[in-house]
Order: sequence, then structure tokens, then C-alpha cells
Amino acid sequence: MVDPVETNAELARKAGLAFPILSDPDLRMIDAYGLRHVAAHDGEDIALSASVLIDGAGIVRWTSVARNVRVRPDPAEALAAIDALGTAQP
Amino acid sequence: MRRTLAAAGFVLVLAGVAGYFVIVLSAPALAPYVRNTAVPNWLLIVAGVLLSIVAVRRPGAGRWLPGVLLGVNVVLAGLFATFLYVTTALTGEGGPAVGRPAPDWALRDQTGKTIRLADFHGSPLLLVFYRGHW
Repeated sequence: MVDPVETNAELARKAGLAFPILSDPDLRMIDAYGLRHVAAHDGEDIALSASVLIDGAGIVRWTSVARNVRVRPDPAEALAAIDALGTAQP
Repeated sequence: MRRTLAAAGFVLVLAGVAGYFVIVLSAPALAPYVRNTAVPNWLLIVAGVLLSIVAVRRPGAGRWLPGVLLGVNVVLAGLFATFLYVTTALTGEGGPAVGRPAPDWALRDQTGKTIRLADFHGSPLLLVFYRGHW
């Protein structure tokens, strides 16, 4: 997300999140992945809601990009994609 | 009886529309299904409009209130649909191409430590792009 490291640290502490929360204030990774949503939040650019599954070889294997600002990628779909990865990679 | 039916229909539609915003704004994490699909809300709205139609079609006098409420319900349903599927819709494609190498990156995590895509070589990685704390 575009928030600074300090904001993410506060979020991780409050919500008890153990996974890494990356800080991309300059939208470098967001742009590299083609996920910039221009002027989405009080005129500021942020990321589209999206999930990207990358396999152990660094290949993109599955993506889910919201086509509506209301919609968030379904966690069940991501889990299914991860399961499919397991069967495709013996 | 007709007025009761019409009022019940209006209350159902109102609950369907207002309930969506109450749920999404107060507890979005608890109701991703509602936020993404609004199916429970549409069920309430359809039931409400049907009640309104039944109220209007019943024989007898006193037709204006049910008629007005049916009209209000249809307008509310239309506004709700416009919000769900038009106002909030995004244009254009986005996201990296499936089957292609993932673009490289190096960013700091919440502890300040720099993390790179290469750190995850050999194991699957799920990246989730958040829009903020919600």
C-alpha cells in the first residue's frame, strides 16, 4: 500500500498481522504491476484492489484485479489458486 | 391491508438499500460477500418491490399511497443498481500478465526491513494490494 512504514507498523501492531506489509509510497511496485488507480482517494493515487500469485520460479500464475471500487478479491479464490499451484508443481 | 402491504414493501426496500451501506461502512471485513455481491440486499429489495406491486393490484379504494410507494421503491432500486454497477465501476484493465515473469521490486516492510521478490524464490508468494486500512 502507499502508506509509509510507520503507518504500516501501527496497523500491524493493532491488527496483530504477522505477514510483511510492504510500503510503496512512490507507487513503484504498484506501477510495475499496472495497478495504479489515479485520484482514487481524496485526489491521491492509490492501488487498485488486487491479488497476485507468483510461483517459486517468479512467474505470475494467477491474478484478481477488482473491476469495481466496492469489490475486493475473494480470499477463497486465492486459496483455490494456491491449491492449483501445488498440483501443477510436483 | 393494502397500505400495510405497501408500507412493508417500502420498509424492505429501505432496509435493503440502507443496510448495504451500514454493513459495508461498519463491518466491511465481516461481510465481504455482502460488499462484493449485495445478494442479501437485492433479495430484500425484490421482496419489497413485489409487495408494493401486490399492494397496488389489490382491488378497492385508496390506491394512491401504494402507487407512490411502488414508484419510490423502483427509484430506490434503480439508484442502488446505479451505485453498485455504474458509479463504482472501474474502466480499463490492470494487473500483470499471467504466465509472464513477475516484475521485480524491493520495498520496506512494517519493520523497515527491505524485502525483495527474489527473497521468495523457491516458494509461492501471494501479493495482496490494499487500498488502505480497509
